[in-house]
Amino acid sequence: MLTAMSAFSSRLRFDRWGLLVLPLVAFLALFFIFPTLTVLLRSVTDFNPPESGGLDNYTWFFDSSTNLVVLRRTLVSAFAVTAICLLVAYPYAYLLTTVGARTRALLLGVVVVAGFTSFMVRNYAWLVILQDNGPLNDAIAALGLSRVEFIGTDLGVAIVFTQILLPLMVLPLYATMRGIDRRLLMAGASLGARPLKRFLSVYLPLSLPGIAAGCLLVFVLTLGFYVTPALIGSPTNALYSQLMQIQVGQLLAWGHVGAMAVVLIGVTLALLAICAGVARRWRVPEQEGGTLGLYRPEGGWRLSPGRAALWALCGLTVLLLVGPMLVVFPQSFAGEASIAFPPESWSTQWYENFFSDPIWTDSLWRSLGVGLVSTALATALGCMAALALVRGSFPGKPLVGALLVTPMILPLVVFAVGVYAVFLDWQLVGSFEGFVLAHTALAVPLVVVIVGAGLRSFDTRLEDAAASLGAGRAKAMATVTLPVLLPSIATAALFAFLTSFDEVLASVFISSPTASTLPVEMYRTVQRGADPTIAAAASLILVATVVLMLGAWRLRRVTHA
Amino acid sequence: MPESRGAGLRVEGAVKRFGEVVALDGVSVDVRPGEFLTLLGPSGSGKTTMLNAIAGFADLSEGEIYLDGAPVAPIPTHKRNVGVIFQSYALFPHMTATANVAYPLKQRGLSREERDRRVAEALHLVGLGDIGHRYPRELSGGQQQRVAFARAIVFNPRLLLMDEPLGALDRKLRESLQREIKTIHRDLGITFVYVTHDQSEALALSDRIAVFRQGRIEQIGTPEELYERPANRFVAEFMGESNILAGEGCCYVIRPQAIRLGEAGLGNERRGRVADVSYLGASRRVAIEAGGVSYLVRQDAASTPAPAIDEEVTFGWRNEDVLVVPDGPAAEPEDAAAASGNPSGTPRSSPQTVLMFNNPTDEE
Repeated sequence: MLTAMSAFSSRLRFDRWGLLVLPLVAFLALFFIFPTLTVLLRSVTDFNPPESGGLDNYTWFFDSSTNLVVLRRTLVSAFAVTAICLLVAYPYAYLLTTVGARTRALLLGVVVVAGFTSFMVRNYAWLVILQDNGPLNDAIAALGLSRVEFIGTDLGVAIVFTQILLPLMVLPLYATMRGIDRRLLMAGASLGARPLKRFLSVYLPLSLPGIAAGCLLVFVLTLGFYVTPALIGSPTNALYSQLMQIQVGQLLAWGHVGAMAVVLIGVTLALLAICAGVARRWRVPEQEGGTLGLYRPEGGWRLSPGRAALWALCGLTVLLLVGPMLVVFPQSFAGEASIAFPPESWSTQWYENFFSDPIWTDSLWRSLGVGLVSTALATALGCMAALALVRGSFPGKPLVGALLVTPMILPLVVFAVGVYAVFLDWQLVGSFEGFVLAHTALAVPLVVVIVGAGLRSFDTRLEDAAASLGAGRAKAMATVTLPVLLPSIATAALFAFLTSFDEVLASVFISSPTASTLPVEMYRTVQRGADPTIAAAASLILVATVVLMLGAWRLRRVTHA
Repeated sequence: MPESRGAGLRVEGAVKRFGEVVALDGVSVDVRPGEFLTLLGPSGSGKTTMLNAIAGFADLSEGEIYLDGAPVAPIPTHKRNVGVIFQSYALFPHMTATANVAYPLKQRGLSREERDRRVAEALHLVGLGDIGHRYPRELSGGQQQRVAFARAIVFNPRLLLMDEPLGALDRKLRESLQREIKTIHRDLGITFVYVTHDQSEALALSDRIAVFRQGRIEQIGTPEELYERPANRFVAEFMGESNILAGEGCCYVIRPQAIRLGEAGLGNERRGRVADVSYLGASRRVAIEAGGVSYLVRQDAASTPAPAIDEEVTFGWRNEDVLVVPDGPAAEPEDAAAASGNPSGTPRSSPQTVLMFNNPTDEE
């Protein structure tokens, strides 16, 4: 914070590039910061009953044993999910650093595709898998063990959370591990440390930044997701974000939900401070695209028992990541109207149903339209801001950098409730514009990060060269900078689209009974009961996602060969 | 002499400040049309800053640059018609070699046929045949260098700026490309301004060399002038290996090849112990310790026997081989390493030892 302040005072003017940050700052101020602050403020301005005042909402929160029990349960399950994710992701990320380039691309691809596969699709798939007569219990029974109750239990919720959040743990771990100089391990060996000692004294400390980043992401997201516990868990074991949804969605108790949001953010900030402390204590010299950690012996590894165990573990992880998605395809061709798996007869009726029911087709078109418009908006705002951040100078540059990561560390349910509050006032609930604005706010940080990375690695000498060859500034940007950055921009746009197309947390709030997006419609349908039409929808989304991701991958390969 | 197609370039009192740092500190230089001028100096001496100002990538803080007598400051880069070859080549990665070379012609609105003709001409001139359809990443370093060259000359600039264009290439390729650059310079007849930290490259290519140090030009002259009559100690050391002997208010420079081993009656004589011998192919470098100082001697390897390490030898030099130059700050060791084309900074035997109170002419 101190460095932010000193940088703030030393750069008090905008240069030409710096001005480009203004549209994004204005947008986020209006559609991200304002809604969030509105909710927090209501904890001290909105009272129920109306005649009370002061800190009543906080008194209500801490006096209710239910609230405290739910808070404790939520923290415990978030810790558990984070720990499980770390234990599963660490070996996987490590394996990634020790395989050949092709295998690595494949294993990373599994993580990225799984990570960007529709959230609702995955929740639905787990609902099918974990049911009492589902494939997982069938497998357990086949082993001669007694069936386990997953649906409506904390165990089931934890499994689904782990699978959904695992990619967010693997990616930062891998990014850190690939920069860890393998020669340090060899040095450790030459100095007499045994393998376990080498790992504990050298490798583990150096990987701490990745652990901190991954744990923070997973923990915060676990706090903010109300969809998974609502679908998989039991109402008697509700989690914090569900409680918030109920306070707003059913009781319209804005003051209560404001106090809950403040408490949640307090917990998050405390954790953030701890993680930041860890990161600062263990600052590993950051290497942009460092590859010192990638190591594979000439001719490959000998298959030692340890190596075999590592592969077996990672094989199971791959199965965990992609397996669930595969059940939706057979399910979508089921002949009967139940979620029994595998289906006993086959038909295409659910696809027919999907395309002939105006509720489904409406929400599909709305989702596509909202996705395209918010992608365009997020890409335009994000590219301008990336230019300003990489090339420009403007007052408060570090603050804008911090602002851009806030959507990643703010529990999403707070943003969702806030957007609902201000959209009610602005009469944007259920409107096309409302969806676009909320989705753009969530998608734009990704665009800035991806395009910013592309811009940072762009050789500005290319623009000098274009100028020396007779191209004016605008011409040089159009003929050189833009085409060279196109893969980055296209990737950013793709992720922005997927973010919007998949968004459910905020969309549930700002939908109206007559106007919803596809994921919201899926959420409502699952809550109503078993309608395999949702499997047809899920299959369509899955195919579209994979096709888009493969397209992006090919594009990158062609241009970065 | 036929009238040159090159532009005359004049720089007057160029100053460039980056905050507290003064990158150019009052540089003036006059380049004749068609001349090959090299800006030579250690890294950070201001030569690339000078080049950037001429190209228009950066403005001067003070001073003026004239191209054919007209000040260039008001003219933006893209209208200066000055070719630039970058150290990293700066080829457009999303365009084929042909498209790269055609780029400046497109900006100038030439017809397709005219473009194709001139691109083929330029590629031919730099010795590239049918690789035009390839992308930069599919070309070798030498081929990329040639494409960059073709792209920079295809629009007939009257001045060509080159920023260490051979820096990224291996030694053998560098030498053959040096010869080609010289040939192309003769054929085109345009003015070349070349930046390098490699003194042997500068000696081989240039009509004149300007030696830069800390944002100033220490000396400007033909390669022979600089090597044989360096204006000060820095230039003497930067232009090649030398033995420097301190005098009063001046110093004496003796080139290693002027010192003879085992010869008597040269006018100056020393006895010393051989500390190190390196065989360099055509020549041999011998370091000799005499009276607490070390001398560097270079001798012909074929016609002289190699001395043994620790052998006691007699050596000497003629008075006419001694250069008297004004004393001044010495070149930093890393500068000298850079100047010998050895950027990795492998230590040489130490030739820069200063002999105090030792005036070679006193010995007669």
